[in-house]
Amino acid sequence: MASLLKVENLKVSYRLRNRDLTAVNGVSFSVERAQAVGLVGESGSGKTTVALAALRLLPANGSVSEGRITFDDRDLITLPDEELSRIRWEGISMVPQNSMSSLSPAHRVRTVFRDVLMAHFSGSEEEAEARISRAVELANFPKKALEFYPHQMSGGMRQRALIALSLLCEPKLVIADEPTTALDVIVQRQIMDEMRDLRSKVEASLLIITHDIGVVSEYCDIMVVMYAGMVFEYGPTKEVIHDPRSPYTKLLLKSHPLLFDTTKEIIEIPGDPPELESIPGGCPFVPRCPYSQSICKEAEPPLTHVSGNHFARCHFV
Amino acid sequence: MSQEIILQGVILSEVRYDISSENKSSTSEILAVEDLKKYYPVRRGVADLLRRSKKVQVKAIDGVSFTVNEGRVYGLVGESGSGKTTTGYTIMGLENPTSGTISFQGKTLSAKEHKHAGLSLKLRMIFQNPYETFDPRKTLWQTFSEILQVAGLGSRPERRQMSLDALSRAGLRPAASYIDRFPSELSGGQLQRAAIATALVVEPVLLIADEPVSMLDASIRAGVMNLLLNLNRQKKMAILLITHDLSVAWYLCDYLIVMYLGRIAEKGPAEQVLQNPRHPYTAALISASPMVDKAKWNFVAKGEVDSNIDLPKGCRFHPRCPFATDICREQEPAPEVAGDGWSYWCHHPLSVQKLKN
Amino acid sequence: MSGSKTAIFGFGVLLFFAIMAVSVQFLPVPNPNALNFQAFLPPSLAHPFGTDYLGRDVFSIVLWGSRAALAVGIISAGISAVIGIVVGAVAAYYGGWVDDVISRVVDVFLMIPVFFLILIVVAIFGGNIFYTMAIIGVTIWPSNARLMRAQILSLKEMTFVKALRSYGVGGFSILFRHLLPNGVAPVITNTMLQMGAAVLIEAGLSFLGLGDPRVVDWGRTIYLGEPYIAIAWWISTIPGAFLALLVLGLNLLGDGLNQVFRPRMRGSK
Repeated sequence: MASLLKVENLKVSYRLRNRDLTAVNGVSFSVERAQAVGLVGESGSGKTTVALAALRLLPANGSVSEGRITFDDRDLITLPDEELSRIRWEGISMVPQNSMSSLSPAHRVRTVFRDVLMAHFSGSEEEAEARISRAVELANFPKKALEFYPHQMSGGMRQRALIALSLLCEPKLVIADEPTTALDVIVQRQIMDEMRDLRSKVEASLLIITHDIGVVSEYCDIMVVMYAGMVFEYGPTKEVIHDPRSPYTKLLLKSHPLLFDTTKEIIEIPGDPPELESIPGGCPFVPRCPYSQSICKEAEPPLTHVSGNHFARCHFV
Repeated sequence: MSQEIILQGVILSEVRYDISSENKSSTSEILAVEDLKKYYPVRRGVADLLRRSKKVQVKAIDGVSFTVNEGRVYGLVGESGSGKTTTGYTIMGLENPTSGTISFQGKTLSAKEHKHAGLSLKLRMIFQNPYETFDPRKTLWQTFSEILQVAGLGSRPERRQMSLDALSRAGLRPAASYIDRFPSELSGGQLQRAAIATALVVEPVLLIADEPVSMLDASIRAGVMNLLLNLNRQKKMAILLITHDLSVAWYLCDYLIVMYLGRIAEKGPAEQVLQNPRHPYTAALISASPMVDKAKWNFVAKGEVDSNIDLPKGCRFHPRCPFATDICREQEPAPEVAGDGWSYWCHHPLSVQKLKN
Repeated sequence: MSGSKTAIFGFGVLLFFAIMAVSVQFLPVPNPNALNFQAFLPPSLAHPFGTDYLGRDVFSIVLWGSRAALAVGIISAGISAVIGIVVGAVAAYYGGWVDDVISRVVDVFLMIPVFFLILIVVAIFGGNIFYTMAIIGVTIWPSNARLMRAQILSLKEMTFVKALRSYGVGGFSILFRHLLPNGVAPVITNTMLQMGAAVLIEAGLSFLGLGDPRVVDWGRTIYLGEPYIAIAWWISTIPGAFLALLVLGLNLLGDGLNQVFRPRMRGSK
């Protein structure tokens, strides 16, 4: 069966006053049915731009200059607006990062749920109510809190409301953009556990966009490491964590402090994440890479096959 | 030495106070915080005044005591609402305590003392958001020059040299190419290094670091953490690290002070506290950390942090604690000693067995 | 883009009048007070803007009048800016009862119909242009104070203020050396708009006959030419057009600066 979401050689650029900036530069990956994929990267890696492009929510000055995004074999980039709006919510839904600004402060949560259902669901009153009940139950959102306004809820509750909302139309794919970044650590854990349990209850795939390797390593089947708008490593999470092949992934893992790590040693990566304005030619990681050779400055390394479904971008994989 | 003997002897039950200052390789105490409280009044509307409702307060810190020794790294950990940042601000004199005392190098700090410039030579703070730490209209040199001027240090060329040295030690090399830049011309990591340099320039005895890496990109966190560790090792600078991230605390801290809703839940030597926590809240924080052994650390606390206004009666953690019993709902736990410099506040402390079940 | 263009156009207009005001004494124009010519001469090569009912050269009046207009604008708005910045900044930074008292005073000023207050004061003290400038300045500052207060209120919560306090920098220095420069942009913008308003208020006073008779002034020329508008349109209309142009230029400069400053504020965050 074909992949649920397939991103092929995606290039996205932002038009600025006097030049174009390439934010996503030839990204390919896929999300299979009932799979959790983690898109991990630092600021400027292009991870959020990929998600926005998939939902066709790029800002006005951004555009897909090359490549294809297909969902259920339909091309999302060329799809007419009416069909796209049906795919949003019913096919793909999104859990945004900032739960406070993502819920209307002037409306009860129930009103928001009703509005979404009105636009996408034509069943009876009872069926609609049943859907809401099911969604809030799945997301572990207390039903009585449907009568609350956003400011009456804690951060965790609001995030659960948004998760319930994203499940309302029984989508096939949920895209979560930094779903727990703004929350306290214990609540983060609760919500991520709940999202993992969800996948055994509903047949939905999950695309998590995050800067946190910890989240990806524990909750995703596949991880996609992005740097400077490119995929640097792609593969089954366990394999990537235990046997990273691109220097960037290697160093990123070594620079990550781990509780109970007995060596108590972390390695620093020199330099800063690249700015879109000045991504060097050749391999964009060269200025920070301790293993770089002369070829790295000259040629962009290809995404090389490592084993099975594991790929890494480096001249010396 | 004598204290050690007492500790290993029989009268353990009588030692109910913080004894971190008497640990083995004893160094001298530089900071003592005692029964610190910070309450904020909640601004009330006209309706509340008419109804003559009770005066409402946010109890950000509610009776916190600990000591800091020379050259050690202390971690003040907890979730939002724990009061960890307010504690840092109050020590720094950025907030006035409601009650309690703060003594630094043997002197009790009053509100006046905090304003005295001499103190800023020995006690410094760096902040969570490096992007807002500097006046956006001043170059680094202008900021550094002002810091040194306020402290009354050096002539103009001397100040310039001191600033260059500090930037260089903070890892901004060559310092001359950074010193005349505006904050907007530096990256987040560079700004946090520059912020550390604003502390280094006077070589303080104690550095309070409020979430110094939480806003930085993953790949540059390690550099800033290593820098802090090196300063501690080489300059014997004590650090009070405020963080929510136990993996950062594991890596940097000698001692931990775990706070929950304005109170200390547990404090003691970092490795012991983390490997064998006595307070269920400490265990919950560990279990929530990424990539820990999930077979051992499966202790997920219920719900969320309660409000600082309507504090739970009894033990403040009881609404989230699976071991809570009637006594927890009614009576605040008294401090218990778990070991050398290690105490906790819990009616039903954890043992290793309890965790595994 | 459009913001900076607007600002540049407005600045060009202001520069035009500034050059006019500075260079007028060196220009070969007749004395604006001299009654040397025939009255009601229409515009011609000798008198580009014609002559008024007493035979004075309107072109010369327009040129010399720019001095009074600019002086009123700059001094009145300047007084307003200084009072507004200091009062607003002090209220916001020190807060508490200081803020409460100042905010109530500002509210009172905002309730007063300013033009009538000025009218009464000028009617009592006579049409001295310096009084006029001062009274305009001390009545229009509240909007500046409110802007400054709002700016400082948001800026003082920023981390760098905590950092400065932790270095031991004093409150006065933090307020005037760090917060003010970062927050003053909207006040500068508002000051440009207030310059235009001040010029209009002064012209309005003169039009009502409360101007300073010793000063060559557009408003008074408009006022004195008004009875003859049917037979000699140029006496009132041309100074009126210049007045409108100056006010328009100042408003465009203010609006333009407003748009130019905004992205910089975002960038600093």
